[in-house]
Amino acid sequence: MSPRTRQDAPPTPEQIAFVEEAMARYGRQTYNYAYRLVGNAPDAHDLTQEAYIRVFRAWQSFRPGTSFLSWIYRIVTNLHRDELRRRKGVFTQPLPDDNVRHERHAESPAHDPIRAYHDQQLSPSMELSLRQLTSDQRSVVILADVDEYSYQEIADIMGCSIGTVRSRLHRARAQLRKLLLRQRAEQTGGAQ
Amino acid sequence: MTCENYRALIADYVHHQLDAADDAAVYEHVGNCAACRAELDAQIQLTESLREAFGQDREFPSSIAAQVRQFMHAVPSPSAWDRLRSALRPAIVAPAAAVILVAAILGYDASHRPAPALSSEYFVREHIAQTIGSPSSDAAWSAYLLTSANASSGSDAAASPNG
Repeated sequence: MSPRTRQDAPPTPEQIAFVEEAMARYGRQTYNYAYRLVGNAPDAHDLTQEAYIRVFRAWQSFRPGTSFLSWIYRIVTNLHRDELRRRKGVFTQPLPDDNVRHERHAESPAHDPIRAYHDQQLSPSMELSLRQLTSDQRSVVILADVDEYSYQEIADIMGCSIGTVRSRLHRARAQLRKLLLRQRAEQTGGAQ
Repeated sequence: MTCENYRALIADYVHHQLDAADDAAVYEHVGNCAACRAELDAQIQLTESLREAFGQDREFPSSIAAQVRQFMHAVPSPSAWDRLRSALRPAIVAPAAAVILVAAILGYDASHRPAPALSSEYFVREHIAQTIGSPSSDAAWSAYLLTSANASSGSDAAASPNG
């Protein structure tokens, strides 16, 4: 976390209230987006924290009436891209996190051994494949497929055209399919 | 349109990003083309796999909010320039400058003041002042005067023959 400097003027009550409300309403979604990008809890924690510090510093640049979530996703996307560049493409290894996991589906894996098995098998290979995409490809796949944003919304978040979103998504999906097929072939070959 | 054209639209079709005309065209085509239908199924499978893998919702860690709050309420850390500026602030500089100025003046004054001329009379007066209360002081003074007178008269006498 970057320290506060003299350039950081003393916060106003409105500024603090803005950040508090943002964290209360969008903190969870922001953290989940960060987690999907980096694949582990410590880095997702740092990324989310830094994103809200950026919100604190630049809160007046948020335009009322626009989507806060798009804005914070854009901040996270840019931070992730910068950090990935700084680390030369490598985030820390995925770690088992101790957060409470809330399944999107009604059935709990504990009561559905087939689903639990499926999750355990699928997630690592999918995460591994996603790690091999570029930062922008990863973002676009998560935003389009997991968060189900429209191309226009993704373009706003990523600061690019709809055409770029479309081509990145197509390339990323083609790459993912190739990687998953290769992994499956390796697993099958290894099992035999 | 060819199958290749339709396949280029399938990912957008899965994400509901086609306009109504293209959406209807793809829908109709995949209903009649087994190869494109297989491509559609593969694309849908990929999206489902991604949602399965990454759709888990995690709690927002309270430690993030705590650390952001800590940051917001933290006292700003001064920069190097700020530290220098605070070291040079008038409350410290003015008294320091005054002390240096006074020391310089005194030093100059002391080095340029002529050394006090110490006469034998000064030591005699000091001696008398210290012994004034003692019983023999009067005698001492008389003796001194006598001695001086003698010395004076002696010197006068010595000088007279020359005069």
